[in-house]
Amino acid sequence: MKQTQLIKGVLEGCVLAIVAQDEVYGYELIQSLHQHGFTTIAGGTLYPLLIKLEKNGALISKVKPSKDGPDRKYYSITPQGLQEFREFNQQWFQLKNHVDKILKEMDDE
Amino acid sequence: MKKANQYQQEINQLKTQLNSFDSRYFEKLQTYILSQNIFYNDETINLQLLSMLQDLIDAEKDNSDATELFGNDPQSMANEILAQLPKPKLRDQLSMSTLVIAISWFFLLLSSTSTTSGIIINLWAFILAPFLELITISLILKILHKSVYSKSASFFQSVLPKISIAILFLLCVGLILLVNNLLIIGPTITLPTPWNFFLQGFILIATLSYFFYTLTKQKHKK
Repeated sequence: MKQTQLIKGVLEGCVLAIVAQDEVYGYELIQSLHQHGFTTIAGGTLYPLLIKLEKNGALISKVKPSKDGPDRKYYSITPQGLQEFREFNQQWFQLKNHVDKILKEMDDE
Repeated sequence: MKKANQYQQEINQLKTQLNSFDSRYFEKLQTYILSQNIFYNDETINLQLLSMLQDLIDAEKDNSDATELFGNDPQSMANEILAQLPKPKLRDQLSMSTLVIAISWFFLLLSSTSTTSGIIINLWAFILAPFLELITISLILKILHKSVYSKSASFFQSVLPKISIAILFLLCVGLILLVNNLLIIGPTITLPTPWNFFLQGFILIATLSYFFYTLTKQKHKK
């Protein structure tokens, strides 16, 4: 299975997790994902996702001065987005436990 | 409209900071997105483009480039962005259409046939001209949109979009001239003297005022 397929499945949850910690603009989010090991994620995947999350109400954007000075478009999480993140978090841990169990059995054999 | 113009100006200023490769990459992306549909909300699109441009400038400072930041397939990225953008509202569509109609009627009034008794206003022209112009604008934008990322094999194929746009433009102008000035069909209204002078004078004063207002505003900004 290609890694990109796996990443696409969890990317939305990971983006919500990062934004839930602090509001970010696009480049900050890409850098954060790269720092957490998602080095193959490009803006081509991320920008449409951010617009989609905003359109669905999980994120909200606001133009405000950045740390360096110029106004930037910052994304922050909404209560709906937080709820979606909690659901993702729960689903991820369940899935991870199931997959770990199967893989452990394979290792034991 | 004001914010959309402000974002557009910022984009134009910031683009000069890009290196030539990234500048070409971004301009193609910008043209592709802006030419998709003239009715999309300018403010939303320009803000999105501005934020992507600011990110690209940051990426360049980190020794990266547009391909690394946005990927190798800008067309797919642009299509996905466009698919997620809010659909044009009726208000935005009407606002753009009203602008085209107003400009069209402005020039039709100025070019209407003048006689000793007044100016002859061709009603069919006032209906057909804006309609033709809206169709022409939409077609030109469609051609532009399709040509941005086309993989043109020959020189002719790469020049074809420009030729098509020129032909469309000339066809539109020709048809409007034909309907308004050469082949007056349908009902006409004669705006009697001196009302035609008042109207044309009013249009002239309004145009000059707007022109000087814009000029003064630009000077103050500098």
